[in-house]
Amino acid sequence: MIKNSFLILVVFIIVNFVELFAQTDLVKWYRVENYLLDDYVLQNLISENPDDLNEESHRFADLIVTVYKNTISDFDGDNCRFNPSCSEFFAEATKLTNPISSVLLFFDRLSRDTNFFSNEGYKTLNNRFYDPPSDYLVYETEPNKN
Amino acid sequence: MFKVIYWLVFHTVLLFSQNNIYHSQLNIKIFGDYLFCQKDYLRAIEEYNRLDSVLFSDTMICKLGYSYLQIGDYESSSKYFDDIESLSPLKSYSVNYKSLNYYLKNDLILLRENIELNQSLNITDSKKLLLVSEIMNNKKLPSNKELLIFNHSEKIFINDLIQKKRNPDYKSPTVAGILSIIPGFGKFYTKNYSDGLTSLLITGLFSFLAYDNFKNSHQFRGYLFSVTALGFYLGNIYGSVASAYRYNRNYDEIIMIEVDDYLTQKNYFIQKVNFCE
Repeated sequence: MIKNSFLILVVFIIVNFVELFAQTDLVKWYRVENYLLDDYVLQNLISENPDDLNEESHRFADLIVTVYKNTISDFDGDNCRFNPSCSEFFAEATKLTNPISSVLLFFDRLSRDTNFFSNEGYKTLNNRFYDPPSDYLVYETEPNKN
Repeated sequence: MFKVIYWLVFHTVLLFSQNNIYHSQLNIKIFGDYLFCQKDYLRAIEEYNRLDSVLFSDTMICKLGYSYLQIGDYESSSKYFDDIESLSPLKSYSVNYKSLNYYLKNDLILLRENIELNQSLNITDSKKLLLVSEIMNNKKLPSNKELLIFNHSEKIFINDLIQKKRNPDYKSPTVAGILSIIPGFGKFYTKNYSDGLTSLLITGLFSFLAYDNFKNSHQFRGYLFSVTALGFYLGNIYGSVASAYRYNRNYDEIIMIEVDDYLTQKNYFIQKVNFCE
C-alpha cells in the first residue's frame, strides 16, 4: 500500500514537473495547417500508384489521425519538427501506398523524428524540415528530364 | 488688343498640338523594342501584336519568337521561328532557337527532326543541345567523334557528365535492405548516419526492454515492447530501402541542376544576337 502511494506520488511529481516546462510558449498551441503539398501533385501521385485502391484503409487512417489530433495532439501541442507532422505523414502515406507500407513508413518516420543527433539534408518549410511521404516511395528512378 | 494677342496665341498652340500620332505603327514598334530591350517580354509581345503583319521583318519575328520563349510559351515561339525564310541571315539563329524550344519541352524526336531538316545550315549549337539532351535522357552516350563539335572547356564538362552517367554513384536498395538486418546499417550505407544510429539505439532499447520484461515475467509489457521493437525493426528495413531510392533520385536531381546551371550560363550553346544595339 505504501509502495503504491509512493509510486503514484512519484508519477504525479514527474507529470507536473514535465507540464511546468511543456508548452510555455503559447504560440505553439495553435494548430498550424502547414502541410503545403499541392492537391494537384498529390492527386497525380495517388493516380500513378497502383497500390492505392483501399478506400477503407484511408478512412481508418484518417479516423486514427483525427482521434489522435483531438485527444492527444491538442493537449500536447504542435511539436513535430517535420512538415507534414508525423500523424499527417501517416495519413498521406496510407493514401500513397498500402496499409502495411504506411505503417512501416510511419515507424521509420518516428525513428527519424526521435533522431538524437542532427537532421541534415532536409529543405525547410515554415521552420520545419520538409519531409513528405512521397519522398519515400519505393520506385525505380525515372529517366532524367531536362 | 489683348483679345487679339490671346486669339493668336491660342490658335498657334492649337495649330501645333497633336500633330504627332502617339499610337502610330512606328511608335508602337519603338515602344515594343524598348520593352524588349528592358526584358519586359510579355508587354513587348502585346505591343508587337498590335502591329500590322506587313511591317513584320525577320528581326521582328525573331524578337517575337524569343519573347515567347522567355515567357515559356514554346508552341508560339516555334511557330514564329518557323516563319523565317530559308534565305534569311537569321535562319540558323531561328533553327537553333527552335531546337531550344524542343529541348525545353523535352521533345527529343522533334529536336532531332529539326536538325535533320536543316543539315545544310550552320547549326552546331543545336547539335550540341541534342547530344546533351540524349545523355540526360539516358538515350545514348556520344562517341569521341561526336564530341568533336564541343570546344575544350565544354568537352571537360561533357566528359564529366558522361562519366557520371556511365558510373552513377547509385545506392542499391537490395544492399540497403540486406544491410539493415543489423538495424541502422542500411542507413549508414545511404549516408544517413544520424538516422542509422538512432534506428540502432531505438530498436536496441525496445528489444532490451522486451527481453528484460519477459525475463522478469512481465508478460504484457514484454509483448508490448516486442511489438514496438518489431515495428521499429521492420520500419528500419523498409526505410533503408526507401532511403536508397531517395538517394538515387536526389543524385539524378543534382546532376540535372548542374547541367541546367551550366547550360543557362552558356545560353544553351546558342550564340546570342544582340537586337538592342
